[in-house]
Amino acid sequence: MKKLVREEKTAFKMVLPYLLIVVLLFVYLIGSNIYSSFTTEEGTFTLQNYTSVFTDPVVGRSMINTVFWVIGSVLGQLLLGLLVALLLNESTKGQILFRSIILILPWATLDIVAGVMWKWMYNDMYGVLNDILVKLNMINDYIPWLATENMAMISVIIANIWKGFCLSGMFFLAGLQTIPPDLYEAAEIDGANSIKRFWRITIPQLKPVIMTTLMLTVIWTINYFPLIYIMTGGGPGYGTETVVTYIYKLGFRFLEFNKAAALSNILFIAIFAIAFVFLRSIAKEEAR
Amino acid sequence: MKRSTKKKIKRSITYSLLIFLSVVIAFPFVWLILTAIKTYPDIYAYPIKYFIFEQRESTLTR
Repeated sequence: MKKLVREEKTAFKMVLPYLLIVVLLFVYLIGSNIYSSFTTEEGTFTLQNYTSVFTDPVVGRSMINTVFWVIGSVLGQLLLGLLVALLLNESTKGQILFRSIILILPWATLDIVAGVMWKWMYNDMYGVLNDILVKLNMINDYIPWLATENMAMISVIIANIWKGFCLSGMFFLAGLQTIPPDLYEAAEIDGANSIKRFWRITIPQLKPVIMTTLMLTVIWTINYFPLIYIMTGGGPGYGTETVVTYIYKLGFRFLEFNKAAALSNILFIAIFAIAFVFLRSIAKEEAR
Repeated sequence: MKRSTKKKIKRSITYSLLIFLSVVIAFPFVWLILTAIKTYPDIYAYPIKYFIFEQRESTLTR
């Protein structure tokens, strides 16, 4: 290990109390969660919580829903983010204005506010989306956005794309600005057209950024709770019930804290595995 | 000459796409603000009232 400079030592000493509090808090919370997932309400050891999680049909349904939710949201967010980043990178005049409207506004809106706002816009009767789409002749009848299971899932994913694409857009924009322009000039002299330049220069140069963004977005989308809870509360039926909303419901509606703890431990392990796979592939990429 | 027109076309496509995207993306937020300054009957007006100064005879008061 490298020897620390004296100033660094002082800095570490100053950070230490805060670090200790955070670490102890995490250790205590995770420890108590693991403890309560292995005990009954009376406090005796049992595996009942885990078996009841695995036999619960709603858990399977919520996992399938989570997969759809993650695939839809992440794909949409990354593609829209990439498009916006490319456009912003091309523009010279008014970049700050467009950047603040497109990349800051949705990100700066609170989760709860965004949820209530989208719920109101999706309203069957008084919602503005139906009205605009009918006026533009894109649909003939009003769509019940949040009333049927599949449509509710699609609507929630659209809202999540709106809320979350800014992060990947910002990362991609930062990544695009680090690509040296002489690469493009050399390719242009060699006669590569813009599509070829995009696939052969932009994407490979951007790959590390894309991988990191993909990992962060996947984990955040799995864990993302407020928007879906505000908009549908897991309904209609179990149409938009993801694992996190079901954990909340189990814990604070049905008051089955031990089962909720067991399910959240399973989710934690799943997310840990996903993060591990991603981090290993990123490390491999860097080692090459 | 050909090169500069190509650049101009590219720039106009870029900016029109940017303007379109910013309108679409800012719209929910604009709608939030518009709804915030409406009165309760205006919020629940059918057909929808887009602006507060949009005068229309109410069916309820008649």
